[in-house]
Amino acid sequence: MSLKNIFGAKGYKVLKNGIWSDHPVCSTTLGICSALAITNKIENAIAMSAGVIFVLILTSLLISTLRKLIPSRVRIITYMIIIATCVTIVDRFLKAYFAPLSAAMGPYIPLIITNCIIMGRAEAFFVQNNTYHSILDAIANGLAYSYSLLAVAVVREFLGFGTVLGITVTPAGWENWVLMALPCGAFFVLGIVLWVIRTLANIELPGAKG
Amino acid sequence: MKERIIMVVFILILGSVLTTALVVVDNFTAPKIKANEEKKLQVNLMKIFDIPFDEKDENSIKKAFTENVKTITKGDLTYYKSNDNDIAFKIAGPGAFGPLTGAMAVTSDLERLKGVTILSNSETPGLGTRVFEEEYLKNYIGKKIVPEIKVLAGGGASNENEVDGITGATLTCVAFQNLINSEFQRVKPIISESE
Repeated sequence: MSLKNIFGAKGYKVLKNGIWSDHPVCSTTLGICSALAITNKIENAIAMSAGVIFVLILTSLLISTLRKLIPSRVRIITYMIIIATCVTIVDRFLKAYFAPLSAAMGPYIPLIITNCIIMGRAEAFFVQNNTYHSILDAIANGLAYSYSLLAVAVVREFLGFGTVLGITVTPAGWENWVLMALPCGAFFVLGIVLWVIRTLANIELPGAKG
Repeated sequence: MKERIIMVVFILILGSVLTTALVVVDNFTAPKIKANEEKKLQVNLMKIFDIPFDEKDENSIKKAFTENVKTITKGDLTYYKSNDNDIAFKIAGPGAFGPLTGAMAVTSDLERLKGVTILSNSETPGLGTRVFEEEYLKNYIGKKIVPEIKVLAGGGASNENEVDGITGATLTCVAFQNLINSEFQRVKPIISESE
């Protein structure tokens, strides 16, 4: 049974677009700020990805269900308060029941509010499509965001700290590239990741030639 | 006109519904969050007092805390005293990028640092936050805080009141040094008066 049969023709297209050919980070360059800021450790990238996926799903559910009721003039405010509420609920919930995880993620959780992938998908997709496809789109975009973050984080943690997930993997005498641990290192690595994924996925940017 | 009324009504209704949801969630989680914070403070106080306990066992934490630590309130200040007469108190102040809170312990003669820990911060993850890792904070144990503790950005600490800083976390180190010194000066007169 192919994926097309499981998700339906449109559902399959939504998934494929989100995960690969219309990649949120690489094609529309959304969510770049967090991809640069928190990718110096793999565990940070995982925590951020989990938070973003969860909030994306919750937001897609709410916005696509309410999409026929939202007056178009105030739609941005509507997205904003829905996203902020979801993030706050996640934050409180983690603080109460998963205190160590919440402590490790610290300031990243509130920062999910400003992640433009959520806002971008709300405006571009959730508000125009039904709940089922919106949730698929949320999952696809969340996964795309996660693996690009992980790709950057693995390189940066390995070069910058000589570790993978906190376990030392480099031989004795390895000199850490401090540049990679610093924010500026993210620009180099993210640039390369964007280039590789754009080339592989054959993403054409409007206005870009050659 | 009708469109505008719908708009306002929609925002009002949505706002009220979401606010209600937040209030419910807050009511539901607030006691649990407060208990977590209390537990975190107890665990950290015992760590800087160097009291042995089993961190995974809730009962062991409670038992060790009640047996080994006395809570004393003097005016506005609450401080903690261990069986060895070491004294600990909560600290709070500005970091390089946002507020810092934590706790520090000093020896009974109010001369040396017994331990220090940070409970919440807004420093840059992976850079500034390295200052608050247990491994680094061990360097502060036994250092003299009279007249003041000094964190040397360039390294080369040799005196009893000097600690090496961390490269890439200079601003946080300076903020941390100021926090320790100013909070100690703040509570010192109150504690020496009551002891």
